[in-house]
Amino acid sequence: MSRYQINKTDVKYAEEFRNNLYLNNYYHSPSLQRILNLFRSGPKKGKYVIVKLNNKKIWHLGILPENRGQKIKIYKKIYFESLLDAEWYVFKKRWKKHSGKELRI
Amino acid sequence: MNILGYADKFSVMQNESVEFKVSCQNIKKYNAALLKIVQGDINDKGPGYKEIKLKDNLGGPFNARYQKIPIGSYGIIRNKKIFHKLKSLSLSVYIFPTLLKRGRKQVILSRKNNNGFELFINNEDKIQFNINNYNIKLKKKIFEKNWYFITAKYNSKNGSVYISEELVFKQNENNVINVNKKIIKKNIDFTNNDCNFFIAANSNNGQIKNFYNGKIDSLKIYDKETKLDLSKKTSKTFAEWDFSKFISSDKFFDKGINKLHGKLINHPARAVTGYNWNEKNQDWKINSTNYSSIHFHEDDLSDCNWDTDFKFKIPSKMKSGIYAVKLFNRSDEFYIPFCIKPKKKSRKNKILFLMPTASYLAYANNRIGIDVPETELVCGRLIEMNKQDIYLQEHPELGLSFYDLHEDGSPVFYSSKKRPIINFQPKSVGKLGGIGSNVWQFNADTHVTGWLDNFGYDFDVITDSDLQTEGLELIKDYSVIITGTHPEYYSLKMIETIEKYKNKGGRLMYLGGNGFYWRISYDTKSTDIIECRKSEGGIRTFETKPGESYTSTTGEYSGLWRRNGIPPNKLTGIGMVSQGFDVSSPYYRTNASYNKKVKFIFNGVKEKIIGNFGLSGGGASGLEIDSVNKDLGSPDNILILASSKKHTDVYMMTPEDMLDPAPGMGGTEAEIIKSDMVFFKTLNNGAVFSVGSIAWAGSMAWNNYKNNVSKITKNVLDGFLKKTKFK
Repeated sequence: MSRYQINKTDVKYAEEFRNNLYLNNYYHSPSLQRILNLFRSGPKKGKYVIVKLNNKKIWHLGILPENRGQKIKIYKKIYFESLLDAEWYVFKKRWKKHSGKELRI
Repeated sequence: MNILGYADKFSVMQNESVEFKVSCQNIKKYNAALLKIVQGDINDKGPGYKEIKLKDNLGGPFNARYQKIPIGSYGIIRNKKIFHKLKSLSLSVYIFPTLLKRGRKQVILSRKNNNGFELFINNEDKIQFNINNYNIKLKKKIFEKNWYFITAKYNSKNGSVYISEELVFKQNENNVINVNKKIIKKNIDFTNNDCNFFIAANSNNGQIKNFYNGKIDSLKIYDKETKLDLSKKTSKTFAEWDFSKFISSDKFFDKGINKLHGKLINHPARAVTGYNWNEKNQDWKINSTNYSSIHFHEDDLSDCNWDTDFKFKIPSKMKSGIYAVKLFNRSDEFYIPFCIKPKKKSRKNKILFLMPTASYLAYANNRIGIDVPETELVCGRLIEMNKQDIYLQEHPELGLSFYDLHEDGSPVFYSSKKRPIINFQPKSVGKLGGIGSNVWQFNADTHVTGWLDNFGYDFDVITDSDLQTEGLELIKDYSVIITGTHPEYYSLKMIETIEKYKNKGGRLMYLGGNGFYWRISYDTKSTDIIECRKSEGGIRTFETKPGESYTSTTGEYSGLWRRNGIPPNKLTGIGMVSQGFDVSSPYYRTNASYNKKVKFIFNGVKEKIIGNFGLSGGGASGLEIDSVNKDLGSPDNILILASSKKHTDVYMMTPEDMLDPAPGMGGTEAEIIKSDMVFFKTLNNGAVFSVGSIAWAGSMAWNNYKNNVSKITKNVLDGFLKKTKFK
């Protein structure tokens, strides 16, 4: 689990992430990578995933449970027609969780 | 997923039968068809899914029935009348519980239906002893991962019961012996029952339940009340099970007078340290008395033991290849792939595809991405779940892989094929296959077989199991052997056989990454079960505990082949250097690629950049990658034809190379992180071509196999098939 804490100067890296995302660029700046390491680390319980229930290109938001045998929580009403949109949605959710503030860009 | 199944074999010959074992839920009937699997990737940017239907119906529709997966390991001694002689009794045992605080019963030993005796950890984590309906328990809870010496006694003459626990390694002066005793009833008839004796579980109306998690050591029964303490000066035993004997088997040995030998079910861990182990002994073969314990798990599984639903005899004219039986109804399907190997005296094809079934087993039903939260970090993106993942998460009884931990956090040492393997199917989408097709192991390997099919090559197929059992005789006549994309797990015999083939003039095309990495051993009885102990280095979910790095099945020192003196570099010229599962990178040709010696490899290839495209991360170098290291045995005559240059920082150096962790060990900075495409000659005009990337095959399949990666691969194969001498 990363110990990094989001601060107000990090907003520009959120912009970098959005740009990289839609350019399919996976080479991030060290500062953005540090934020992503924070967002993507952590325990299994409560971790966001995306769930594809059939062959259609629709991905639902999901959350992993704590233990084997428990159901993955699937949000039927929160879905995406693009993986990139799902990635950006979860980034914003995690931004709020870690900074306490909405990401308004 | 309402249909699951498995076959009794991975590999079969013409005129032999394969048995299929099926379990269904929520349906009444299902059908079965026979198919040839050509290309299993369903990505619409790929070359297209291809299966060839050979038989529509294998005798169905079949009646659907449910067959339970009997997960959980235990020991059993079939009902013995000698137990009826017991009037009074004393028990002693060492235990090392590994999973408590779950509010449920875990049985240490049991010979009890309604009547009988049973020693267990109760749902309050206290030791309890029951005789018929009487019970006695200790007041203090026990704690995880401590060795305890437990005794329990019943004296039929005075009706007394006694129970005690004592920490074997005292931590402070408060660690006294905890004792409880009381009078219950004289002459209790607890032997008047016909039941089996269980270790680490019990039986309730035929259902095996209440599994124990942890080690059990030196279990003894006396037919009278007797003094029992850590001094070990005890009287003659009624039964005295010595788990340090027959460690490589599924048997356990009673050195008492009654010879109550038993059998282990579902392969609990053996060759694990006992209560009396110390650091002077790292190898159970040197002094097995330090390994007198067995580690049982509620989630061990080595054999579903399902009944056969139907069998199929392979027609004599069926060619060697990869086939599958598809079980299906209107809404569900489940594939059971298998290999038809060539007849012994009619191996006609020059090309052999070596299906890496040991590696398929290592990854069987893995929970990467589900149980391993770091997966999102190494994939550099959100983890995508599909129906198979949802099913796996909800059904832990499907068993574990070498990438999972047991519920108690201990390593998984064994993986068995005698169970449904839901990621060993065509159409399967994995977690680590990179952006794009995201295929892994078996389904990624169909990029290679699909490519062979596309260009009309005839080829034979064998599995790792065949290589293990038949050795060099099986492969020596092939002109070229082609590997899968990730042949990571190799036994000594397998690796020696490939080395001998190579040096007898054989030609090896290693079309993968991170191959020949972990040393495994096979079960002594069959190749259905593999074992791996991940000691010393390597990218792994766990490391072995001190003293537990030698396999129980063969006594070999397991772990990296690099630590065992046969680094993959010696075999293939290259070895594992990094992994990352986001995007892949292209190769850049070196000056050596223009050398006349390798002109045949680049015929018709004008580009300097190779594989800046692909289905597995968008490039030919990626996922798990290898490069040359002469210190590790890459041969002096090796030619590096092309290398990747830059990977993302999701790629990190391996632990075995990261001897002194320092900044700059990620893919954008560390020079070592690259794939090397190499060629070298071996003895007797043999040769090796290695690509050092799992993603390579995903690029072979790009643009309907029309691209420079495909071209290079074809040039090499055609060149290797010719008998001309390499310069």
